[in-house]
Amino acid sequence: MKNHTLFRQWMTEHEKLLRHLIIGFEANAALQDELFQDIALNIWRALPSFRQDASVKTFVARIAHNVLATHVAKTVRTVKTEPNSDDDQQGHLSDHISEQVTPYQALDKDQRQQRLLHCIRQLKLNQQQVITLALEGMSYQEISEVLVITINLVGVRLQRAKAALTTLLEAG
Amino acid sequence: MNEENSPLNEKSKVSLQTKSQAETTLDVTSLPKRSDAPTLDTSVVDEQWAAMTQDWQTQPFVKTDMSALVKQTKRSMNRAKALLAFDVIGTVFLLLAVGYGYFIKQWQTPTLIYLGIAGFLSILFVCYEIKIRLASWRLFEINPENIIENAIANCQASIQYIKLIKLSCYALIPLMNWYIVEIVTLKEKPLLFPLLLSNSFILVMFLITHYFHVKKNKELLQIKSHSSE
Repeated sequence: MKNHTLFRQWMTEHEKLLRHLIIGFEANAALQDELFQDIALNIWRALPSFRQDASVKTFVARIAHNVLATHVAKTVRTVKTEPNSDDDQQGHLSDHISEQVTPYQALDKDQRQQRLLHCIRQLKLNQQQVITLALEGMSYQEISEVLVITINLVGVRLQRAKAALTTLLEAG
Repeated sequence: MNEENSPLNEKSKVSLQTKSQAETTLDVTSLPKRSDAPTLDTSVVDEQWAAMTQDWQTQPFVKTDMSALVKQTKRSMNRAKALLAFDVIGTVFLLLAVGYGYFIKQWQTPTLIYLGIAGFLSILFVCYEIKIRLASWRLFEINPENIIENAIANCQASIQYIKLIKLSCYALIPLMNWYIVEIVTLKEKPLLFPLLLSNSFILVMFLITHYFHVKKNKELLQIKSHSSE
């Protein structure tokens, strides 16, 4: 199969995965598009090196993670600390919810998605990496192949990331 | 059996070679529980995890025009290759010009010296450029665990390249001025305008390079601060 046909097929199949990973690392829409193009360019360059026995999904995800990790390392973190509209909304909602429902669960879907992204972007880089892949439904084995770490370490990092994320979500 | 000697704790006896190993091993066996650390109910985490996964996977995203993406990617690839090819061809052309001017046309000495030094500097630039471009083109081969170290190395290589351009500016000032004085004197033409033009060109080149130097230095500091977190 020709390179550009294969590239098109890969990008179409994994577009959702790539877009989700990108928004987990970058909030700015213009930069998200730049990152998508950067990842696409790196996938194109990597095409000739792809081994047929490897999984395309993990190959594509690894390229995306390398681009995103480099981007995060170069960017000054500008996580908002002042309460945003989500927080205000959450504050009002928390007065009405029962004790069993967490503040996160009390939000509507759109607000939950925004809140989730906001909190993921505040995690440490290695926690961001495992959590975004796990949220995409990847197995420990797949995550370990993407990040080139042991399955044990995936478990350790994921547990820490989940705990940190839950704490951030609960903190509101 | 003493619990510390249990096979379950076998990992604690392994000498730690890498940061990753250390993290895994310490986490499993040896880290004492901090009594003052906030404890999180794992059932809350698990309960919320299912909801988070669902929210994450149902996030809306902008569909990409694949034909436009393919076209744009090809264009970017070709542009990068063309730039590199242009630099290589330019360098070869400079060196050929020196040979041609010396052996066939017997050009004036100042021209030959000027072209010779320019050709030598051009070889250095091209070598650096190839090194930097290859490093950025092979991003997919980097182990994600070493990505920050790789970003630091790339940034340092870019800074070296910038320093080389700055250095060549310093070298160009006397060289270009000397060349212009020699040539203009031979042709008996006014000296001021060509001197002003060439020095302004070097100044602009230096200022642009300095801007990128400051920018890259800031970027390097940022990456280093990230790696030490």
